[in-house]
Amino acid sequence: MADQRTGSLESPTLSRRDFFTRGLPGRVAALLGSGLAVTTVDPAAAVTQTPAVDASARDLRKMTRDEVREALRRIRAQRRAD
Amino acid sequence: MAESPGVAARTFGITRRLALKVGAALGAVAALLGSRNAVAQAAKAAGADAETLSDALGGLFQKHYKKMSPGEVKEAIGRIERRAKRQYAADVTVGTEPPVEGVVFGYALNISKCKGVRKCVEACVAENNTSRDPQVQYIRVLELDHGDMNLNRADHYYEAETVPRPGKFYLPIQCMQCDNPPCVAACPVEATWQERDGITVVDYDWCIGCRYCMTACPYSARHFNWSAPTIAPEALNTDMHYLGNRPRPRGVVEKCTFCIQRSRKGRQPACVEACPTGARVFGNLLDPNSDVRYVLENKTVFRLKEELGTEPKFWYFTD
Repeated sequence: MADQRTGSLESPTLSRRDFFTRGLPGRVAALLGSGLAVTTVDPAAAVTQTPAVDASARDLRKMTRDEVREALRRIRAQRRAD
Repeated sequence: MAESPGVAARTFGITRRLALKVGAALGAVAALLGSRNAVAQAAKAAGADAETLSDALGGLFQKHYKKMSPGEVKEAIGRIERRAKRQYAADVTVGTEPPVEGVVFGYALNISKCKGVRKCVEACVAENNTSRDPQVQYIRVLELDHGDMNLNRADHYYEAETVPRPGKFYLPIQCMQCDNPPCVAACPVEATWQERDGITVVDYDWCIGCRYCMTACPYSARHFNWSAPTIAPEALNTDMHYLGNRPRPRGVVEKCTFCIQRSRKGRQPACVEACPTGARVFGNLLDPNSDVRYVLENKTVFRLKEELGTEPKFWYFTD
């Protein structure tokens, strides 16, 4: 999956994921950012437009103790219901 | 202008309908006869090594695994065993161990211990009879920069001889055995389902190879056999499960089953046993004394793409 996406998503300013997950302001900002990136020749300048928070950081999300307990509770409950 | 347009249309409609009906009936008969003839001719041409007509027809009209009677399951297993004998000259045993009551399997992987040596991948391939050419691997080990959790920037093809490389960490990804599996919901023919012990399985004889499940899986954990899997006869693992590592045909999707042929007999999956750093923990999520429960309750735990609501039963953790 990731290997197939790498080619198109290496732009530091706009990823498809950012576009679909950051809400309307995020989309506008992402599109604006990509437009700027196209007009910018210097790659260093493009890097400066990288969003401060990377939406893909959520790929691996830390779970709180409560969330883990809740996940286990759901699994137990589902097996009892079956 | 001898006929009115209405009469012409009605006449044409009746003729066309009749023609379609007759054509469809003839086509069905021809297809049935053709398939039987083709199987018989192929069997005759290939001689004794070919699949018998009864096996070919038995496979053709085989039911969904969940709908089969015990006798039909036994016949299906007989066909698999005879096919393995012909293809690999091996005596295989195909089990159908059902889920154990009170067991839901879970998995935890210590990303601070994983060194990226890919021993898990090798063990998985050997255990699950996945194709060597073209290669099918259920486990992908990603190499990432320290502090970077963006999978889009991960390297899937790093050189194993150099690991662990400084400044890098390794993230193995395989089937998460989701408790809310999108792949199951996507299957149009119910060829894949979740068992009571939480393992999502595939009936390889029922799969139509549409690959909707591959599209639905956010972890890319399903793999399609674009060509007939190639396994050397001496490399075949003869200890099989009907829903697990039995040889798969071309044109079907396959996936990790937490080594169902092992785990349902109380053994650890091959990747757990093979890991040289002990990064992998497997066990019963319903057992409060299991290792996996200890990890979940006492370690810093992560889930992959948790926001999608797939409820993965595969956790990552750090010391």
